[in-house]
Amino acid sequence: MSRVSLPLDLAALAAFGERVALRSAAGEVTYASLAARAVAVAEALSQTGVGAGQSVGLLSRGRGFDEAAGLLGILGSGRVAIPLDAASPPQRLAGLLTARGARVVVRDGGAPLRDGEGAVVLGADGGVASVVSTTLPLTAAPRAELAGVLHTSGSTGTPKPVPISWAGLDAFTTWAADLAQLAPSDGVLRVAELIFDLAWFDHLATFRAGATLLLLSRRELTSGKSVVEAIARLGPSVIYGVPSLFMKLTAALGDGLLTPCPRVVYFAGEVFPPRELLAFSRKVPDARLVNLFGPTETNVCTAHEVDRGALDGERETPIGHACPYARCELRAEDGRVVEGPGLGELWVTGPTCVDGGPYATRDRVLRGEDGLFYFRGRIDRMVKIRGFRVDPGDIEVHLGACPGVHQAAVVTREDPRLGLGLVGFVAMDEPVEEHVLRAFVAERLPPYMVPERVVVLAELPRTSTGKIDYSALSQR
Amino acid sequence: MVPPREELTRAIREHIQKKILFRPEPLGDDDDLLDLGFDSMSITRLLVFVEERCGLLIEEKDYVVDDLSTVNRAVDLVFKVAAEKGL
Repeated sequence: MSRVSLPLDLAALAAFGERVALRSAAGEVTYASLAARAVAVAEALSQTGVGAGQSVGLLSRGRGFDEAAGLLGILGSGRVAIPLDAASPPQRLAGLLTARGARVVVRDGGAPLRDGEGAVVLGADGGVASVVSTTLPLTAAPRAELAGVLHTSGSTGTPKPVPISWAGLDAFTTWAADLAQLAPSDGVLRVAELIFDLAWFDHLATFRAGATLLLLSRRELTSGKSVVEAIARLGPSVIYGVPSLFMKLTAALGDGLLTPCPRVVYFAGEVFPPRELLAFSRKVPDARLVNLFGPTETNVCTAHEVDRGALDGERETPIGHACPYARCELRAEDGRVVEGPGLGELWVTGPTCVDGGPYATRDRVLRGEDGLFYFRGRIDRMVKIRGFRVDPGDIEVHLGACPGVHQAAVVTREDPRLGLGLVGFVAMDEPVEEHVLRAFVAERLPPYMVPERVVVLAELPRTSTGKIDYSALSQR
Repeated sequence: MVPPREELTRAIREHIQKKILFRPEPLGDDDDLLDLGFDSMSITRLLVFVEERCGLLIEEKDYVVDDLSTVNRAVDLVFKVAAEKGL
């Protein structure tokens, strides 16, 4: 199938003409019109003083047509996109932009995050409303090989950058679009935020195929029922989301089916509990279900098309085989490569990896007798909170920095209503109210990283070797 | 037991401001919570709070997102569901 080549060429997108690129409750935007708006963003960026290969922040609070126009304007002019999480505190976003040397932000209104920051302000229709030049100094060398930089939680307390190269994006979106047999008649539901690699499929694979991206507002995403209604209205044929989303849909549907039934459902980002996957599969009887696996640093590196006949609500779904562009090896603790069935750490080499790899994922993976890979948990403390990757050490750094706190520890806890959540423990001499500690963290970290509970103790429990006793804390 | 309207309004307002949105500035009873960062988790947290405070279970079928988009609407919803359940 023909795909627009990468790095992205706006003229090639404009050639799709009157086909619909974006559809939402607010209306439609054709490819010709979207490409024109992207060109206007690119020209505005030149006015702000940002050259090719330089980083540009992208912040869309309203998720209107501005987000796609902004992204395409940045990428189509050879600049590097730094998507920003609208729910993150401004302080964290400002620090992240400065660390990446991004001097200008494309945003839908709002205020600058830093003094001297340049801006291309877009209306919800994606048109340029105003342009502000930057007075910030140039601190980073241009990176022509990059399309974007994503950020994940790291143990140091500062967001960890993950560069997304054009070569990696090409390999992944070509493969994923071909697997879904993505055609111009398709509609892809835009679910995940751009700070996730999932949303790069939504945008790039869709636009490369000349298909239609179907936009949901954040308000619609807040409940399963409103997503079900939006699906009925927009009729997506392809949905790529996290299991949490599909579980919400299952719950909201009650006895009914998801209508219209999508053709393809990709899921990734966390383990789909077997019983939940079985229940969801019955809501979408005609959909192909594909489990995609891989950390942000490798993008998707293994995949497995779910065999509906094998779903019994108990057996786990494999993460499958290596994607054609990724070489996946299992390495034992002594570093030797595990040949044949066995357990090891997953190492990935290929264009989607940082610098081509090899990248040690810290994921424990089993190669079964059937030759398929099965996920066996993390080697480090990384956890997934509703699909967001969280290193508890990251939160401990910030919780530990609260005035009066000597030391902090963070563990996970399953809650019947809220799912897997975080619980913080702090050692302090003079206890303060719990909400004060949570508010301190909320000023520095995105909402999904704020512990549900923070317990104040005189001292943290220790193991016999003097380390924090996490298993004792997990049982409190 | 559902507390009187004034007391419930204050309790919900303070819970949202201090424990869900972490806002230092006060919250108006008609401010649009979704514009202030309320998401699906925030809604679940609010429902858990109401459930514990009022001994009242509000299920997904009982509301649409807009019913929880301001403090006043959330209070209206609590009284509506309580009346339906004969509490």
